[in-house]
Amino acid sequence: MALVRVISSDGAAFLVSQRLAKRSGKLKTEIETFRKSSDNSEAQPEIRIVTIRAEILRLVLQWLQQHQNDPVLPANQNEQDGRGDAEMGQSQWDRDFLAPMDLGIVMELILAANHLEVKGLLDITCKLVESKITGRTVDEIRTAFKLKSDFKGNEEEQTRLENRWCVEN
Amino acid sequence: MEKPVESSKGPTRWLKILQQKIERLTLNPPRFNGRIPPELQEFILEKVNDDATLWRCRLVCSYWNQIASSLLAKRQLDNRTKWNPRLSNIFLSPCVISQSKRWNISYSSFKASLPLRYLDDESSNPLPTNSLTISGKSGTWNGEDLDKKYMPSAKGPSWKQPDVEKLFTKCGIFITTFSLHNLEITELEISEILEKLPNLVLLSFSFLEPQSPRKRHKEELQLEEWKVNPVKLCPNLTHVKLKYCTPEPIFWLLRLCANTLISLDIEYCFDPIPPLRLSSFKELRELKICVLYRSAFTEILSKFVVNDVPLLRNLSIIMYTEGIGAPVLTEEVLSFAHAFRDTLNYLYFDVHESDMLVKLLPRRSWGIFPLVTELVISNPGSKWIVTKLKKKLELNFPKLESLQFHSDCEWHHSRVKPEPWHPR
Repeated sequence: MALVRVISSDGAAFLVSQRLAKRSGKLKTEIETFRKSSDNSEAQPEIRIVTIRAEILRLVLQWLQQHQNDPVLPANQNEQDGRGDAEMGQSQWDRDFLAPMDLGIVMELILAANHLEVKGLLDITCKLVESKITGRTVDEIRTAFKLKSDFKGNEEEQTRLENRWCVEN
Repeated sequence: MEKPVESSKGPTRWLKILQQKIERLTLNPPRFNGRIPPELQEFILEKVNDDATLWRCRLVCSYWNQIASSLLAKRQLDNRTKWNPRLSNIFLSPCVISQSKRWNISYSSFKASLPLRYLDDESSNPLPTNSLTISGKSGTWNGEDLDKKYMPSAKGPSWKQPDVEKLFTKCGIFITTFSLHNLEITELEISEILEKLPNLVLLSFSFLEPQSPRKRHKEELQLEEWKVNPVKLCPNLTHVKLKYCTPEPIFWLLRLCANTLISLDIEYCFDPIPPLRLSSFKELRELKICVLYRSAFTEILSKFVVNDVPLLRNLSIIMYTEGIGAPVLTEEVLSFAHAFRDTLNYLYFDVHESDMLVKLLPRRSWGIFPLVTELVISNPGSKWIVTKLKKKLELNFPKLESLQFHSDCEWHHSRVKPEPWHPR
């Protein structure tokens, strides 16, 4: 089995099958680039992901492992039948996988899924974050996402008035 | 062998410090700090279906504000330009409402709705959804008090009369949907506004009234001198909705922009019908016609030159029939629709004539609609009529995939009856 060594930003190495790695658009491109530039066809590619730390990379690879046999959904699936990809692809396993994670980890996972081009993971993580936004108050959202108001002058008051007017209408 | 004693000042300590420094220097991206790239933030917020939540997201911080506002504007534009074959409500977006009876181009007597309160702020676009309505008169609409609904109830210390000319100059570039409602307005006045809205996509007129013939004559002369260039005026205008307007502004508008329109929605109840024959609708894909009198429909039939509408895909014909004159016959509707048979995919008709339809269908003389995949007929009556219709329609619509009927109940819920209104 052809393997690829994926190294996280903090130096942890993960040895995975190339077939599994190629489920990520980014890793697929890297493997192909390595093959083109390498004289030795037997050489094991080594890919360093400088923006993803080990804990997150391990989660991405774990998700890919679980979904390695899933069919690849067309990019516009949600436009065709009105359902989101996340609803299409989310299994009980996915729910159990995401359940123990705090929002910070989920956000890092979103960044990683986006960087590695893993659409299915990006969809379910974004959907999870959406569920933490919908129906929440502004303060609850700020607390959850560790954000602070940075409006200047009366901008916040203006926005609050606009919101009141627009939502009421 | 004696075990080496670790000295606090020995080389082992330096090695440890060096090791720690190397660890710190290792490229280690910062953990999530609450900020993600805009395209991902947008991707997440796009999944929020509830608009009220999206409005709330504008209050989280300036970064979220920017992205949520842009999404709301996009969503509104999508909703307003989406094909809707049924009758639609008049949409009043963030608007400026005149207190005076007569709309005055000097804008001196306007009152502004809340988003326009801070017009003088240098930093902001006061139109959260890039949408603006100008409504001529205060009063009530659909039983609601416009002043109460759209005007700020508490005028704070920062309240000031908005400068509407400044609004158009400063923010016209942002506006993608614009409505004129319940006004007396001339073409020249409309032109002067549209000139400042280069990114306008959707324009709607509702309850527009004409001006006095004397004033009109004077303005026509000015317009002639002005020589409006329609392409320069609104190069992106593709959707026009016209509801209960007198013909003059419609004549003018269609002459200006007919050949770039993708969607035209006419709800019309006054004679004469706009001179559709004078216009060429080369890009038109969607046409909705709603008339009050049979004569109006007949006039439309005679004025619409089919050759000038080569791309029409969606057609909706609605007629108010209850107690007003003779109804439009299904036969007439189908004959009209058949003229677009080479391109037509979607046909909706609502003429209260389904019993007649059962007797008449199938009719070879109406020809075949070879491309129509969706057909919606309102108020077909009893179940056996529906079954019979489905069977018979296969002859005239061989590619039909979706056939829907609206029951009486749905009919009354889905349509908005016109309020009695006549031009003065």
